Amino acid sequence: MKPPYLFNIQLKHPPRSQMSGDWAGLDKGTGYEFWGLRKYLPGDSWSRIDWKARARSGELYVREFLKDSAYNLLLICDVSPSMHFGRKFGMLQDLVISLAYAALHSNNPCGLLLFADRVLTWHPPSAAPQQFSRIVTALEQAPVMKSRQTRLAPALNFMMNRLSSCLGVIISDFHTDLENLRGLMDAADSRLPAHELVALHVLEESEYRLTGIEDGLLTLRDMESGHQMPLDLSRKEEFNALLRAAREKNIRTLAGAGIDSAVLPVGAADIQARVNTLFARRLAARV
Amino acid sequence: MPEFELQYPLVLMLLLPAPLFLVLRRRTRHKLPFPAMMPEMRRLRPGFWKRYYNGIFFSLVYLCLIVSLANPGYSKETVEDFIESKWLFLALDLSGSMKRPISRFSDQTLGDLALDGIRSFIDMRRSEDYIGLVAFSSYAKLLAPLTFDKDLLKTKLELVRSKNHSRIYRELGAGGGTNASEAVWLSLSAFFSMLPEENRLSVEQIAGMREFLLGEPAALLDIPQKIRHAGLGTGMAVILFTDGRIEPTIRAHERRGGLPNLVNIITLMKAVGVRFYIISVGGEVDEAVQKAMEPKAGEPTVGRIFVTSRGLDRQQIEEVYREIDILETNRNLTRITLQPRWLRRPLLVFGFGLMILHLILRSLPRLRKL
Repeated sequence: MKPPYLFNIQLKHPPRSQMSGDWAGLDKGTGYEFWGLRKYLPGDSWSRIDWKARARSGELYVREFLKDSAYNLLLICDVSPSMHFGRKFGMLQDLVISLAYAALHSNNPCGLLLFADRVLTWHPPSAAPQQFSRIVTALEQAPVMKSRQTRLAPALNFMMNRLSSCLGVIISDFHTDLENLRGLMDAADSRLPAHELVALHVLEESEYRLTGIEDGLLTLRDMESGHQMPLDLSRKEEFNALLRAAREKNIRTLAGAGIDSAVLPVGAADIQARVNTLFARRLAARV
Repeated sequence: MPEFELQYPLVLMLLLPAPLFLVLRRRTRHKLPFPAMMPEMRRLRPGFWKRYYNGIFFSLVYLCLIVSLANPGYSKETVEDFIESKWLFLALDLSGSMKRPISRFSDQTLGDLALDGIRSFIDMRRSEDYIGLVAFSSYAKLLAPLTFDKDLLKTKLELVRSKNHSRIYRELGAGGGTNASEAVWLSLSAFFSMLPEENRLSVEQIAGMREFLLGEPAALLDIPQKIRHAGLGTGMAVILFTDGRIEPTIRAHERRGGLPNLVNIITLMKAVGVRFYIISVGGEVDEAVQKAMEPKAGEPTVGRIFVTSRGLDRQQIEEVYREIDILETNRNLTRITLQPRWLRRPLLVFGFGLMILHLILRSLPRLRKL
């Protein structure tokens, strides 16, 4: 199966496991292991210039490194009813397939955890050849839950109990209470956290902005709790501001727990670039 | 009697399921599934009016329609209907002379022939005409007061047919005399009693008039003002079916004593304008009567005398019918009814008005339901 996106998964921190062995990858990239020198090209960072080589040869050379590898990728997917709004679940499937493909293709173990208000499906990380089809099948057979809410904390607890370290990618719309994450992710302040987490916010356009809709009265029903609320669309701007504020608050809360976020609107043309930029940005912010 | 009333009170039971309709409406209303509901959104809820105007209008329209079905009446109004009709009294002579057979070969009497004439007359009259019946011989008897029930009149007529030998026939036939003047006076009295209350004569006034009628023929009559202004003479007629052997003269009056004089009665009828027709079956009419019926110079005619052979002449009856038909209709009778002021129409109009207003409001951009 050809993945819809080609992701370049990069770790922010080296693995904490003492027994991880050679964790350098096969490709050149941003890492800790020196690979070689090459001539300076316009646009290269000056911090990479090897001044000793400059002194020896009189020309500018930059250092190249091996890309960090050897990670356990765990895809933590939200399959609550709210994720079935619009085309969000299809987008989630595309992301999972592409990320799993990227990890397994570079010989890294990949696992899957499906959750709603609790953990529903668990496939531990594995680099076995059939792991990709296992993940795809599990996603296709994901149970349609009728849960009344989405709870992320039990899923993260489960992950921490099962895996000593991993790179976790949370794919969700994050319509959940995130206040209890700070206590859970106390390792965020650590220089070398065992569990690196990344959040991909999969959202339909109407979840962060209402446009192209005329004034009127609308009754909304929460897809999870079933609560109803009439909405006056003449106050659309306030509604949009509220959604934006809630989204920013979520991102800040996640960042406070050490989880970097990328917002991925369904149907956006630059999904691949957004995810790769997230990984690159994290790497650039490496301590 | 309370002024407020409901024509169909049980219809109000239909108001009981109204809350159920409201709940069902609320449940079946289209709701848009949305994943990102937040508690902060509560402040974006529309105001009370915007939220509930649909339900308010629905309840009001439903209430109006159901209450209009129940049809409340809030007060009574008096409705006066003028009954435009003609008042006709048919006086039938049952004296001994009317018991004569028509011919040697017939068992029908002149009275039966007159009865057939009356019967045809009743059949020909319009349904709104009031017809009364008086039979007389030595004295007069009211068979039927003024009524529009033709079946009743025909039943009463059968009572005085010779072959039926009814008690009334025997009683009236026992006297054998011809007291036509009392029969006509009885008919006139019946007319007077039908007048509106303000035109009705007192007992003393009637007694006074009777005194005049008992006087010598052609005596000057003192007619009370009430009768003069009562609008008499329009649409009122007395039709006398007789064999013509009536005794209206002073001699008869003196001989019998105490009987109203027919000539005086005709003078009274002339004065008040009541029409008088005599259908003489196979006989002749007394000269004094004929003279009294003839109009003097400048006076209107009081009526006509029709003399028929000893057989029923339908044409003559039709002629009487036509003459009566051109009389003005009588408006002395009024029918007073109390009619509640029903609210069905205003409520229906109000209900439909609310419905239209609701539709208009629903189409406004700020109030439409998506």
